[in-house]
Amino acid sequence: MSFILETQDLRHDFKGMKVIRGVDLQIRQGERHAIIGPNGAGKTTLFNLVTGMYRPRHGHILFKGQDVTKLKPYKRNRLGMGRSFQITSLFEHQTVFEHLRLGILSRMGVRYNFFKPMTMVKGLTEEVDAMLARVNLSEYRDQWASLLSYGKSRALEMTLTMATNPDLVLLDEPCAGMSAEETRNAVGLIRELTTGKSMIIVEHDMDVVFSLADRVTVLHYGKILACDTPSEIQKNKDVKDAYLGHGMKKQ
Amino acid sequence: MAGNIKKLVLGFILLGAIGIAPRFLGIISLNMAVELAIGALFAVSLNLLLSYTGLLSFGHALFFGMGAYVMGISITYMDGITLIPAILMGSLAAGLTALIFTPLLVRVTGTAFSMLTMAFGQLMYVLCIKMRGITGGEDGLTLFDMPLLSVPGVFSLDMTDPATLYYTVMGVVLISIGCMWYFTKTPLGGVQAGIRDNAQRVEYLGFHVSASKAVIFIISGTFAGLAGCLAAIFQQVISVDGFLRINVSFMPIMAIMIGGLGHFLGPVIGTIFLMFLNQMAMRYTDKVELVFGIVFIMVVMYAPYGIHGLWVKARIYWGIFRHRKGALGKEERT
Repeated sequence: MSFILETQDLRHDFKGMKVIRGVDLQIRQGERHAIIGPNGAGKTTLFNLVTGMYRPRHGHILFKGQDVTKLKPYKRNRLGMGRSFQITSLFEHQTVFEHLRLGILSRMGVRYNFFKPMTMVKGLTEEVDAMLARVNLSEYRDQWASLLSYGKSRALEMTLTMATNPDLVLLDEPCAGMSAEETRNAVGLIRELTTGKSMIIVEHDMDVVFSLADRVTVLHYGKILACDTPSEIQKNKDVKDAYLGHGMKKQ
Repeated sequence: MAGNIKKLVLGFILLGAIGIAPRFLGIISLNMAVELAIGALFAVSLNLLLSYTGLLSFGHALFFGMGAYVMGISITYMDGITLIPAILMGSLAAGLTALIFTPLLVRVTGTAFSMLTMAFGQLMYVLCIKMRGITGGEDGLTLFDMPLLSVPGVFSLDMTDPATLYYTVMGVVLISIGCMWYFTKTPLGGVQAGIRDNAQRVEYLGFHVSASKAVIFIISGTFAGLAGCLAAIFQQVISVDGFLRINVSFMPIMAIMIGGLGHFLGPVIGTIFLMFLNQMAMRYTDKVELVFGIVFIMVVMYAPYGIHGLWVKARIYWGIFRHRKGALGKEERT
């Protein structure tokens, strides 16, 4: 079995407060993997360790078999790792088109070119327009991102992450704060965009998790409590005690 | 499309006006135009950092002065040097200075960046006063015999002739501003705008933010150095107060803020405005800086996007006004 991402005994703390206490995560090639856990379980911290925002105090991160523990975020991206943000992170004064153009430029490897105008980079405009059409954002092409509705800006956030064509995508609560209909659209979009790719998703909405994920990891106080298929996780007694039982009863 | 044609026609009219101006302007106005052009180039080079990358540099005079001093020193100490290599050396030295400082500067943002640039600027100011042997200290360098701007056997221009100087400066400034405008349209220009709005996101899209910033910083520094060279040719005296003092750094910032932050030609508008304000204020008071300060405060408080912002606002209100009038007219008819 080949893993696209592997963490070995990952540990991290903030000023002595242990947030991640030895996580061994294994993500298979091409699977959709969900990470769930109560608030403060360390999900976002784990995300930030994997994508390179923080450097772990201890342990290793292997991506495609390569040790990336000490690599900067941009290098991890170039290796094929992309992430979206929990709090929508876009470019305020730029149009939807300009957002995706930046993503596609990165995919094409055009990074320091200051001799050729962007309109003359071969295939750039066409690819951006194709991508916009694919995610039904064409009608907002020339609108500023700051003027989009919440659902649309979340969609742009995800599309921008996918524009660099990563092999592994990490989505940090893509459906947080969405209405039921927006969530349905978002799940459809995630399915569409991540076909044939590996994905890690952190999400509080259990419907989203259980409809999308192939496997689920439950994080509890910085440790992995269980890692199994969604149906097995729902049966798991430890998980119920720690977290799910509470939520499931409500539903 | 119609807008583009309008802009093109406007551009040609402007170009024509610049071309025939020396026939109508007196020597004083001509010199003012030269000063204005140099100031505009300097401000546009800073605007590349401020409006397009979101970096507020309080020490841009460092590059302006570096260009001027290196050019002045090469003219003073190298016999027989013509102006073109001297200017090239000046601008490249400014770019090189930017390169030397980048490892430190690209790692900080916001206030820390501003303060650090100011510190480096002041450092150079003091250094130039202390290195009396080379820079002439407080007396500065006087370029008694200005070399010719020439390529042997092709052309030769005398920079002490006001009209020739005017055309040369205008040409260099227009080409440089054109280059910088072109730059904002290239992929690196796109990355730069991304860094301004959200550097973290740009990093996660696979761009090396620090390296991109460094390239932009060097380009901005080089053009600031070029502006310094032109100013030195124009004034023929290079002094620490005229080229390296902190107020030299503040002038382009004021021009950008007054002209319109976020717009490419904002600093040009701002420089023109400040020039006229200077002329007007000088007639009534010798406390010109006070007038500048009050205007600057007013702009920051009531028109944060400067003259360009006011223009955009006026157009929006005009649109609303016309729309309402149209709606009223319809009502009356029915």
